[in-house]
Amino acid sequence: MKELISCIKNLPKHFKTSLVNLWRNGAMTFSSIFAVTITLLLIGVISVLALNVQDISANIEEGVRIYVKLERSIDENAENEVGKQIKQLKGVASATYFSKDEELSKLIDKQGEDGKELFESYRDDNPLGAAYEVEAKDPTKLASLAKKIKDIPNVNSVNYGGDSTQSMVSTLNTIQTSGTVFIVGLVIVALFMISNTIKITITARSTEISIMRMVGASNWYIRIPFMLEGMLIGLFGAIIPIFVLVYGYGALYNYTGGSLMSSMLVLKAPMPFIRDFSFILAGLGAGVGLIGSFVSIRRFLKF
Amino acid sequence: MIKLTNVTKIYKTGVRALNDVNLTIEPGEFVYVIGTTGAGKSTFIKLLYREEKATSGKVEVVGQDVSKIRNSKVPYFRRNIGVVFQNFRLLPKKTVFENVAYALEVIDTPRAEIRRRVRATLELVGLEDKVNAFPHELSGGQQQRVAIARAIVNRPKVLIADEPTGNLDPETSKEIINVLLRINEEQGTTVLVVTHDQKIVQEHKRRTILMEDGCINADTSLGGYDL
Repeated sequence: MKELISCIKNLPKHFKTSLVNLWRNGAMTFSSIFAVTITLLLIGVISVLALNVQDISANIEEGVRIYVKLERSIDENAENEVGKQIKQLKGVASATYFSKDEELSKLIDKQGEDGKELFESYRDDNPLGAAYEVEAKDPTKLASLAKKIKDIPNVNSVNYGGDSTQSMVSTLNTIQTSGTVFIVGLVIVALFMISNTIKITITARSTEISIMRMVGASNWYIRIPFMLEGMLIGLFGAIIPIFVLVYGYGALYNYTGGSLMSSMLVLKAPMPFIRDFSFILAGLGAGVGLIGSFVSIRRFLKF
Repeated sequence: MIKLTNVTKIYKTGVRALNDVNLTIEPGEFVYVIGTTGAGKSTFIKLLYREEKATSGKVEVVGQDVSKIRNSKVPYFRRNIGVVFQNFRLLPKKTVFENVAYALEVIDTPRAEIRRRVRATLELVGLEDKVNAFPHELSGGQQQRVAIARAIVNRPKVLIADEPTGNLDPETSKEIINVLLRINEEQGTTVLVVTHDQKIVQEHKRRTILMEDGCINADTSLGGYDL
């Protein structure tokens, strides 16, 4: 404990030592930083892509609605009654009411200029029923929810795009889960690679460590400069990946205008996303460097 | 200063390196340890700085029972002992000054004091003009003098030199031994020199311990190699 306190007191000195060591071990330092750079660049780019795919698929899922058409003959009270019953069903996130008139207006808007006159004549004797747009809490259970709604009295028809929507939703779900697994796996591989790099730099200097022990340096006194070196290697290794992400993603976002092909495929806005992600990358590099050196050096500090 | 009582060391491989050794070295002595390869010289000194532990018996150095020192306390114990090796063992990426200063830095010596003592010690070993050189820029003899400076800069009570002249030519060897003798005389440090070098032992006669097959075969204050 006492030695730990004295080492913390010596932290500025250790920090200086680490920088000097990094400088004097030039080639070794450069190659470690390079290895960390490549690794972080890889996880950076792939994670950003995967996170976007996840986001997009979540967006599409959210866009899935059940369209419930009511009988034409019923009055407003009965319509509200159906709405109440829909909202009471388990798994319903929201249900938005559209009156007969609103439904007709939507239809007319869809027809364009030509059909406008024709359909406008139906205003007095509206052939359409009112409708509800139902949003499901869990898009994968669309079919069973639609069936339950169909059983409510005064419901004329239910439309959710059928099996194709259902299978799209489950595909999107697979994408999201496998994306998560992929990122987690990649992070683990990266951690392994970075800590391995650090291990090599430390092993190369094992004689140095034994000499330090010979001269009477306490374990923490030896360990701290190495840990700081590992942290700095990780941190320096994060610089280029962060630059690439900030400028690369910014350029991509500007080039595409924030969405791909349709408005449904929306990219994440760069500002909080890339900034947060950069912090994560830097933290990952520094953290793994620090902990990796701590673990690797243990082997050489056993008496 | 150093006291071995019935010390036996058997390595895990079954090799019996030391066999019931009894020995006392008083403060301020200058002692040669000689013997053929495999006689147990290296094991003997490794026990002294707690690189190895005795299988049985008691090893006392500067008043401490070495085998009872906890692992985490070994660095503190080693601050009482300076060790010099055949292959110098300098920190390759540190300058001469930094190498010598390192032994003081680890015991939290104030900076001004470090500068003063490192300079004084480098003067003692005759290297005051190489302060900023790196080890690879020095000759073998110079590197060994840096190693000696590092070993004595924190004023240890015991200085152990393991074949300090093994890699050096006769002329340089003489210089190194002279430095060790000077440290013994001027600072009163107990010095233990393990060596093969007959010429040195003959020239500067001091107490000489001859080891053979893990035992002390002769121990004479007359000195000389023909025991």
